[in-house]
Amino acid sequence: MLLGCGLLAGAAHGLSLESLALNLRAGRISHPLFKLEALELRLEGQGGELSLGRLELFGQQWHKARISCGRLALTGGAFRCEQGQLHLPGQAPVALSLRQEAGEWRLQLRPGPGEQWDIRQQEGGRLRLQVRQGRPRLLRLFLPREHPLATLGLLGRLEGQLDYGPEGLQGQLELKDGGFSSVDGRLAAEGLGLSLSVSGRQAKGSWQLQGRLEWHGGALYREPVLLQGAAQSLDFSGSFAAGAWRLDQAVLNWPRVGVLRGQATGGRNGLQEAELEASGLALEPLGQALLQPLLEARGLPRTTLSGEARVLARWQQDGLAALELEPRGAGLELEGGRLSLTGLEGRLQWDRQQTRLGALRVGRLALGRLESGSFLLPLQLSPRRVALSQGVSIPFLDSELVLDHLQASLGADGQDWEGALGLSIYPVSLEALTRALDLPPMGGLLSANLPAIRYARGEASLEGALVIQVFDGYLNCTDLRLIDPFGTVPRLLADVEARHIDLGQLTQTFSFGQMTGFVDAELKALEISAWRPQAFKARIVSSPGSYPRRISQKAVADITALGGGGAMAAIQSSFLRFFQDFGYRRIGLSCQLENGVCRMGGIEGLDRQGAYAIVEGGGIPALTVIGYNREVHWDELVARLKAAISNSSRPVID
Amino acid sequence: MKKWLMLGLLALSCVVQAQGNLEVNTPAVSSLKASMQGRFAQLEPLFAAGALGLTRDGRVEVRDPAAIPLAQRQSATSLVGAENRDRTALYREIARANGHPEWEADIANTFGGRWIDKARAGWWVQEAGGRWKQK
Repeated sequence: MLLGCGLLAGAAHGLSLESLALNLRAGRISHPLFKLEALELRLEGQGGELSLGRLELFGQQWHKARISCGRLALTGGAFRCEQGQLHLPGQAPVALSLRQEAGEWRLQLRPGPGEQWDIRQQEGGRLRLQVRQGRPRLLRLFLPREHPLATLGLLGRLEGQLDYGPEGLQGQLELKDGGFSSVDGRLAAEGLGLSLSVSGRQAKGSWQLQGRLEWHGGALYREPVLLQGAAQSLDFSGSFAAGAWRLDQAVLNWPRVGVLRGQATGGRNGLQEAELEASGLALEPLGQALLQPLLEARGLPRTTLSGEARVLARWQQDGLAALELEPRGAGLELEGGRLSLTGLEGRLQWDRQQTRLGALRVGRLALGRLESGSFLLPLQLSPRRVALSQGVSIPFLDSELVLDHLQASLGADGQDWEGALGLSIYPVSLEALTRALDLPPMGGLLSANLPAIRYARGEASLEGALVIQVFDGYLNCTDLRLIDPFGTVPRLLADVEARHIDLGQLTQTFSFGQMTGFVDAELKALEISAWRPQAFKARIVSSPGSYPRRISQKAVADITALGGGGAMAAIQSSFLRFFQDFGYRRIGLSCQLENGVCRMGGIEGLDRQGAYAIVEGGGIPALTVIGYNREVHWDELVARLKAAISNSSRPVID
Repeated sequence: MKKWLMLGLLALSCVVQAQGNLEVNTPAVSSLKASMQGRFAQLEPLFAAGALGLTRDGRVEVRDPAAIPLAQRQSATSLVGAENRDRTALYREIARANGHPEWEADIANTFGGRWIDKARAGWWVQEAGGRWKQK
């Protein structure tokens, strides 16, 4: 303690401090925790000033720091600086007192009301820091202005004690009602309750530290994620020096989520390398806390995770370098049940330098009400692309779908995904399909070869045609597009042609009276949103050819009901009411749906003064059905159709 | 507030007639506008507080998170994400309905400029250089 010696020497010569201005110089004070150099004590009147030419603390250095003392006493081997202030360059002064007596010295900092930072040095170089009601902002005094912590606006109250001695450092600190905020507010915390217990020793210029940090409460925000303190704890050990730090082991215990283990190294420029590994992570709370906010910030749908996973992630200075994911009984479900994957098992590896192979077993894939069986996805993961490494057979109802190819890649902007897949639908029973969709069961088969379904800019489009064999005829869907599938208004667009649909099967399936014959249909510019047709141009006409054409009284009634109050069945003569069915020559009905209103039409060329013919009579007995309402609200039309199917309508026969 | 929003949309429609019909009213456009109108009551106080700003490309950005209470910052970010999802879908749908999907960026910029013109005093808007300016 060179300073102490110098001061005592001055006092022993009986100098009157009240009357003299005196300069005393000392060399340096060196301690494992701090260094003081170029000390100079200037006594003036009852006070004085201690200049610290160079102060080094926790690896930071200050030049020209000073302590001013309102009252300074050097008596009987004791040194007392009262009513003092610590002046660090560029910082507001801090009130203090500094005493040195009988081989001990004590520094008491009083930066604010009720705030106490007491540092006491005892014999043998032991140091004790005691903090009461300490404001963390005091720590900013000892940080360079550009240090990230110095710009965070630290808040809260610190309580605790740190002891340093030959055996090392140890102590406990508690932060109550802590908080901070970056200048832009994208990193911030409020109401933090933290406990830190730490021990360590200094060796070869660095500190070997271990300890435990517990997070009791409060909230931490890192845009866009908000985390709540709920007894998370971090056990750590590592070495820390001025220019570099190394976290040898960190174990984060996150209640409800799991235990994460990691290592990291870093320095003045931030993180250098890090690795994080966790087994048995509970995906639901993890997804809720971390994944959900990230997705929602990008306008993606709410996604619920389930099950568990093992995760291994490696970072380098410039970001995520590798990731391994092993789901165990995991699942993923998009908001509203649009898409769900369950029973996920396997191992996926991603590396930003190279392509890796992996495989994912999917227990079940569900799209709305349609569900698949279990299948294995062999995947090839490249830095910005994921693709199937070979074709995949997916059990579906009584048949299978074959994914011939599938790839998705991240666009150049790093934001939007683009992708394509090729799909073959092997003949699927329409009966099974319609039952799964909770529709009236239909006979027939659905099969398709869809060589390219592309997804880009929020739109999935089908190149080629989807052909569905149904009611002895077929439906041909072209220009099929799914727009904004994950957006507010997902919508399906398509052009559909139907050829040679057997009316007998059709009317039987939908309990729509009984008709014999065949029809062709067109459904152009179909747009469906929220399972509701928004627009189309539809036309149904009798198929060309020679075949029996009969229509039952019930079917006449149902078609009449569709026409609304103005429709009527024009019977050639009233005695025909005794017939169960009638002959017809042709059928024609059209509807152009726009703004919720269907503009109706009938057989081309048979329009008469606003009326239109839906069924043109032919044969004996013959019957013609005329519609009068040109415009029918879509909801009204659907209600009439439902009523007709539920047998509530009755034939109108004159 | 809905009236204000509708007036804004109508004004935009007139301005860009030269390059396309911004007033095109497909069912999807109606649904998207309704979704945005339904959200506006939640966005408005955030615009007024200076937390959000209008960008030149017709989007909304969290300009100053510090103006939002910490507990609400995550939900505000989600709100902005949903708003931008709808805005992107709206511009895309208008371009598609005009038969020119490639117009999407132009339509977004046109909407962006007009939203900025119509922004209330005190709201923050993005200048040509990307800097924020309070109206």
